[in-house]
Amino acid sequence: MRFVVILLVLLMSGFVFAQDKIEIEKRVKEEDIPESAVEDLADILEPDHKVKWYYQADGSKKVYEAKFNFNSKDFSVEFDTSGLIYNVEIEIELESLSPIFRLKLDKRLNRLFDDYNIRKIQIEYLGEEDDLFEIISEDEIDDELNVYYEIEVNAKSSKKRALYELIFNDKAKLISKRKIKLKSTDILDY
Amino acid sequence: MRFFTSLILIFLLSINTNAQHLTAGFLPNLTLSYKVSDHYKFVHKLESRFPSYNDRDEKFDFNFERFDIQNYAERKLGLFSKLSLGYQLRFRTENRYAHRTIQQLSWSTGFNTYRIGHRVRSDQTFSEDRKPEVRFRYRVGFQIPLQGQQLDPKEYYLSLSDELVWSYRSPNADLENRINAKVGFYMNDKNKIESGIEWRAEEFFLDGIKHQVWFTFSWYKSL
Repeated sequence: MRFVVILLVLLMSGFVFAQDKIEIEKRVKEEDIPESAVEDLADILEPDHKVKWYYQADGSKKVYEAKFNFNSKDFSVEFDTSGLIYNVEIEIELESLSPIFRLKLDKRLNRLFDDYNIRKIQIEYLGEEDDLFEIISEDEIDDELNVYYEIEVNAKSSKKRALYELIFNDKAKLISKRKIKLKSTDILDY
Repeated sequence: MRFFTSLILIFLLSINTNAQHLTAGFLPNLTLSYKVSDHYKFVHKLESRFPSYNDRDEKFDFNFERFDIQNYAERKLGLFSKLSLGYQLRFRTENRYAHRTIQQLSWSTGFNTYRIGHRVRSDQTFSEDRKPEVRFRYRVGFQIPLQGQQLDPKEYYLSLSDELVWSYRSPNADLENRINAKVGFYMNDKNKIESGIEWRAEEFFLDGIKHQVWFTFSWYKSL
């Protein structure tokens, strides 16, 4: 009996000391989004255009994120909790980057890792509200916008393989590097 | 959730009307895992089977059939692939038991939203009262978040899988198909609870297909 109690206490301990995940993302209804964010997007997109809304919390950063496809591009637009546009992200292919940028990026990645494989690239635009909306409506990129590249790589360094999220600026300078914590696959394996 | 419940009911009714030989019951299990290094992990799975209904007697009777203890040593091959070697000890009624050796290769894809897991497994079973049995199995499983694009703590997910099992025990070979549909609750990465239905259709190569429907309750715990 004592063994059963000890086993149960041991098993339940995980609920109390569970580790928090860095980025939390939840699907939310349009009614729960600040009105200005929904209206600003509705001015650009058709009224019945399919938009999926999410609430995202990453450390102290809390945003609402709209995901949609428009003009054959996958957009992800973040709004702050008051409804002001924060950034515009577009998923792109490696081939769409300029050859010079690719060369610089390749050089940086080779310096960082022994071996790497790019899994996903997102281009992120930050700047004035009007300039950000024009990316969606006019497909126009204003020179004033700050451009960043969010790159997800499966890479090996010091004989250890991991998944990383890297952020580069438009000069291919590394701004941030963080390891992505992989979820366990026990339910798929056993 | 209502959609999922309706789906289970329709599924059960369709099995019941078409089945020739149907056994139904409960299949609770607990999977406990812990890392011993960056590359190695140990996994223990405890599972019991309680057949409680069959269509010949048409009687509900909660019976204990067997209790399995599975132990695996797992080696990480890449970021998304693993190789496991395992041993299972099965206790059956009337003090009978069986030994099973297991070899498994698993890998997963689709990291960002839903996940797909592939599992290739072979096992060999030995017991005193039956001839040895060898099996080759392939399972494909899907884990789909129900509350967003990615699975976060305290969210529900849908777990679907299909497994084909080819077996040989002298003098017969057999083919079995196992379909699982479960709803899971992801408390955090160390605690997951699942409940749902497993439908097994077996003896494809023999006279008349037999059906088994198991109500499963699973707890995946990592230390």
